[in-house]
Amino acid sequence: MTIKADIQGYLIYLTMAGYLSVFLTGLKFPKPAKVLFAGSFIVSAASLIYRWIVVGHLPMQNMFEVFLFLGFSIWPIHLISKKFLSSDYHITMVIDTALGIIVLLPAGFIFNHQPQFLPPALQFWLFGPHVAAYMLAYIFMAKAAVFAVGGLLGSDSNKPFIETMSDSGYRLVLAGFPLLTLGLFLGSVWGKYAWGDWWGWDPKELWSLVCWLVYALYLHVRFGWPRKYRIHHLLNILGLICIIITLLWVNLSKLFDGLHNYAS
Amino acid sequence: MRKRFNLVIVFFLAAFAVLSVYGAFLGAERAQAFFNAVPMTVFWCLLFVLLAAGFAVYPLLRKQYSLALIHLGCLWVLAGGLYGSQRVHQWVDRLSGRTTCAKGLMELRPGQLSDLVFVSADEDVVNLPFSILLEDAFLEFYGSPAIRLYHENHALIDIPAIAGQPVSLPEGLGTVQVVKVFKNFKLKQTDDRMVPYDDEESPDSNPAWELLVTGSNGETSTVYAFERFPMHTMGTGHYSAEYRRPQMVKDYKSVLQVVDQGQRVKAAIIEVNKPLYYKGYHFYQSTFQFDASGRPISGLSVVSSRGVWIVFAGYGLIFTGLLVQCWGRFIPRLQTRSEASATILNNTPKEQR
Repeated sequence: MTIKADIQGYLIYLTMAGYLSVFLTGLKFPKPAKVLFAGSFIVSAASLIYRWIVVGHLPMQNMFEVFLFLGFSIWPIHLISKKFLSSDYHITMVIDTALGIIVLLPAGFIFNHQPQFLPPALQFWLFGPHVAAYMLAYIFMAKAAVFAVGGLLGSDSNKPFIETMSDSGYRLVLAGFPLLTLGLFLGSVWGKYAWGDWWGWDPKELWSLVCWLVYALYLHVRFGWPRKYRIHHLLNILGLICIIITLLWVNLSKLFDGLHNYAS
Repeated sequence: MRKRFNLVIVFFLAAFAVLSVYGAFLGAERAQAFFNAVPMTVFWCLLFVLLAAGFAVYPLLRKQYSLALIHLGCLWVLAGGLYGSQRVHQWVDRLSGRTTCAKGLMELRPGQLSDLVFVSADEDVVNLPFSILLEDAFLEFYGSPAIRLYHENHALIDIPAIAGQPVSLPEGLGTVQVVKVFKNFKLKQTDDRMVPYDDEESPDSNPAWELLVTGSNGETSTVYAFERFPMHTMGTGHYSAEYRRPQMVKDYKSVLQVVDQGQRVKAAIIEVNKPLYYKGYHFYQSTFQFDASGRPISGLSVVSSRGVWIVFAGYGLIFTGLLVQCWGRFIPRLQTRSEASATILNNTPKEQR
């Protein structure tokens, strides 16, 4: 765990401090917290743009840059989700800032931020859309999993609460699933251009497919058994676990040697 | 009936996910063999039948075009995958009596013309119905190459490897200037001494740089640096020079020509992410190495494009269906919890409500 004592680090820590303030004060003082949340987004955007200038390419190449982008995506996704979530706005704001802190922690303290040259395979117009689609989907799915955890922890006798949790999680999965699919398809099309195969059976590809299949399973179970809330929640959480494995374990573990190793 | 069918769908999706996790632990090469083996071919066929049967079992799949697109797209992806697979390639070859190449590798040196594709580690070869000529192959780097000047084994300065103006040396030692760049450095004997010259007519290449070092007292020395032989120094006085290649490769490129029935029909510079396409085959920049004499060997991956457009069309169908189903039709309507519950109920078959 290292502290980044440079402009990049300060911008990340400032964003995290903003998110933390919103997390602590969001329920008591929602109006200033709302402004602070937007301000934190501006700092995170500055952090991303600064990184872009430093490395000279779209900052989505390695784990540090990916987590920086995840931290940046929190506020826009919060605004989009607000449009279709019926849950309490202030609670979702607090939840979202907590997610923001969690995703910025590795960028701020764990991952190396030495600038790297873009390898030949990543010099393609699909690089940005492919990674961005996945990252945005991951944030939606992470939010959905938070509601699923809420639903599992809540009492079965509190039916409105259980229904709200289930419903919010479902809508967030509906928002994220097309993006997850887009990420998978764009990666496949890119694979055809770069390596000659639209599907290479690479560990990262297979884990991405597992994520997609788990959410497809969730949607089918929800369709077939609409009142089995606990199973819906468990599948939703399983989906996030698969995403974490795809994003972290596959890239960082030496267990999965494959074509996506430049992301580690 | 539908409840049982629901269970079968859930079983297949769960089994597919578990098999994918297993495949991820195998590594790409073994996973490919596993997913192309006969038992998995049966699994793909069953999945195909299950998807097709879904249209008969669920009226919603026929009535709601977004759901129909998603499931039809899945059928297309499966069909394209099966059609483009190595196994179907072999079956089609057997039926047609022709030998085609699903995937293989060509290794070419500049100037080499070939139609041979190595399709396996056992050096099985397939002849393409046309030939590929490699005109040139080269690397591009991040940064520029430089020449490092040494004075009695002590590094003095790095200067760009292009002919230019004199550059001042540190410690007031004088100046250094790249005065000539050779594409193919050679020596010839003239008046009892060896004189360097640039043999541009020969197909060989031996890039070199001639540097003129002018000391603070006006004394001059000439030194040479060689790209292929960085340890070889040549020159006069106490100076030596070394060619310094940039370390990070930006791109690998090959200049190709397609020769079909004796005619040069297509030319392209291929690189990573930019293949050449001709008559059902894609040619990819796959490997790049140098032989003992320093000449490049370009490895081209040759892949049949059979089935790929069916798969991509399937992707289009699935994504369009999902956009309409998840974003266009569903989310904007769900403004309140009661409305959401109503919509979910509307999407649920009557007997399950």
